[in-house]
Amino acid sequence: MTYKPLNASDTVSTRTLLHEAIPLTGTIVSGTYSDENIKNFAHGMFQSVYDYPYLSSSANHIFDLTLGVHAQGLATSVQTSKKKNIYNQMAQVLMGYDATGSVQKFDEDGDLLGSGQKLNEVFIVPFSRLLSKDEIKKETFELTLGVMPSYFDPMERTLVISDYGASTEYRVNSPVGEYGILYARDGRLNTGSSNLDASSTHKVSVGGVDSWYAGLLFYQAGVMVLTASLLQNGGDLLDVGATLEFERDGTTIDASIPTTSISGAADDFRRRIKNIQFNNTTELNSTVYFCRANHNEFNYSSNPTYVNESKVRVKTQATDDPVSYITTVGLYNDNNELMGTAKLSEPLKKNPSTEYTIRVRLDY
Amino acid sequence: MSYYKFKQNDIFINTIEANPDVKFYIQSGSIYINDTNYISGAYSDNITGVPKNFISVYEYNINRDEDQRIYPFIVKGGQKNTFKNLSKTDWNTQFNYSGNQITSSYNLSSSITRYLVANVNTVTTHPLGNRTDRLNSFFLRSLKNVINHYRYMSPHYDFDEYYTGPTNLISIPSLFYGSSIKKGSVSLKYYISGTLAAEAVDSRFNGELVQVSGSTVGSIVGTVLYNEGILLLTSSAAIDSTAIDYESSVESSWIRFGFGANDGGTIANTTLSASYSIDFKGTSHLQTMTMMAKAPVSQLNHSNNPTYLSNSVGSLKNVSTGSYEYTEGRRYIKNIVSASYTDEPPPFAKETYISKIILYDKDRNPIGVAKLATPIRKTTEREFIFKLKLDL
Repeated sequence: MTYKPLNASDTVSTRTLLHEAIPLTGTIVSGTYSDENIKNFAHGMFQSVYDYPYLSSSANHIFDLTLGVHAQGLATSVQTSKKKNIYNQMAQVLMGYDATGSVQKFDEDGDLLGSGQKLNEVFIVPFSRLLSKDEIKKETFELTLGVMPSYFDPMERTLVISDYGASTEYRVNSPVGEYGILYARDGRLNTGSSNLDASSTHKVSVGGVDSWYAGLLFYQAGVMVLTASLLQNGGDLLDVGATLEFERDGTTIDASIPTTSISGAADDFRRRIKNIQFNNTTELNSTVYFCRANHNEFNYSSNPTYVNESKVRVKTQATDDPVSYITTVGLYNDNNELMGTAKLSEPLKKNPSTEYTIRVRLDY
Repeated sequence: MSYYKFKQNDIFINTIEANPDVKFYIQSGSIYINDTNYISGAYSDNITGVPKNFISVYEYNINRDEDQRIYPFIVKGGQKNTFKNLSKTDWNTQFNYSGNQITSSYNLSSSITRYLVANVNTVTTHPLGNRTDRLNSFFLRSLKNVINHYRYMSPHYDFDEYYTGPTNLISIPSLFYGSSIKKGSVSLKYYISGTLAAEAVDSRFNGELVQVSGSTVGSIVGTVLYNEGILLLTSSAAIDSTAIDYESSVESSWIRFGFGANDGGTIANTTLSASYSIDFKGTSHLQTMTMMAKAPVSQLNHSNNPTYLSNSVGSLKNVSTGSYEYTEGRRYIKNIVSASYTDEPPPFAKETYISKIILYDKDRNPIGVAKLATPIRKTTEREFIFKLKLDL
């Protein structure tokens, strides 16, 4: 065994990005399991959604769902303080504070000091870390939302909400990392009449396509914030030709938010989710050690089996070239203490006419 | 906010060893892992999306259709990163130079496998013989050095002496046992028609599997490779006289143990009467760093938090400015000392409430935050030691 020091040029750190494609069909969120996969809590502040009935140990938590209302938003009569507390709690974590120490409100275009409108009533969806991992990959998020006026056939007309253009255009003024702007577009791909208000003040052009501000997506935190106005016909955003029935009895969302519980609003919102999909990212950091065996190195071994009767076993004549078989690379620290070993899948034959660079990768 | 440096005795690292129970029950070609039943789903007969007899490694994609599954992918690049199931040729030929997605799939599965080696020399004596026999022989022959290595534990780890005849090799993936199988925890039970016919345990803690019930009590029927997760059973002595359809119609013996455990064996009517149980404990190690953060007497009694100062006498904006001066107004520390009376303020004392402890590296970059469940009142007389634990 021979020690050979690694130089600075023999070591390099790399980063690999591993992604996962996450599809969440609306039937998982609402329908398939008759809400046995929906967990409501006694505190009533949010509900948890699982991908299988949550009493099964196989079920995975996929996201939470809640409703937040700012104090300057709709005046509510049910769970008023909880709706406000949730808004403030999420806003102070996700948006931070302004110069006066006040909590920043969610802003539709992320320009906190600009003229963009603030979001006062929002649905908040923190995705499970199991799904979002290190971060949601930019410009891969897509939510298809049913906006048919009828409560019973919500998916007849849809909106597609996505972070269009976010791979190059995102915000960094949040305490929890980067966030992108969610835009709504017509789910029917420009066929027939639009579901969105053409004269809306929320309308902008993204990549040359008409888009409507719909919310925010916090990539590292894995949280989606969606304006409740998306489900209100004639609310300067949605235009589906008739009153959108948010509740079973036909109540609209602006009438529902003040009078319904958070879990009730979450139930009604869930059944309009047709599909959610995004890609996540996991960073894998590695250090690569290039272990170089020059032609005149590592040709002998101190292994006991290398000699037989005090003679080198692999040489038959004194003039033969020495030969060794490399099976393991040991990594040592400055004090020659063994820190790790790298094993080869098969031994490498080494003699003075060969040179190798063995690439040892350490992931952490 | 004050910085304190951890001293040598303030930090120590413990290792917690866990020994979880693991059980396999094998009957008529089915393996029940830890007595878990298989739940039929809408898209397969097992909601985890892997075949019965296997566990799903990540337990993603519970009861999901094929095209609705979560899957991993990487973008092909110059670092030649790929998934293990992709060959080098495919990597070179099936994707463009860079930018293409290389996908893999979840629902990775794992289970035990049984290999019956009739004769370890099958490879050399019958080079063109039955492929399964030859492969099984390869598996056992590859363990020769490993088996011989453990001769310091027992003479029964002598490959040439004990493993050249019929050998029943049961391989257990490390997913089930962690770093090693715990010595003295292995128990193999052989049931015939629901009755315990024989049991072998490693009661000597040296890897020898000793039969403790049945026909040949006290005999050594095989060995365990603890670190490698392999059971080697070599006893051909009959433990029940009834002929059962194993590889052939023969009496039950330890080399038939586990028949049907992913070994390709055909399950006949008589095979159903034999069932097997494998119990053991795994070993996993978890390192934990414990840090003692000390709040000494007469220290940490001042805060830079804005709320530490009273707002009633001068506010933050109470400044006087002129052509040549900028003077902040005098601010006072808020008196928050507890008092029994409401009509008179208590005597002033410096008090703080410790709400979190931040860990810094040598360059004073914050690398961790420990938050207290409730803030702790720190007076000049009090001292605290906060015990921080970090799983490594």
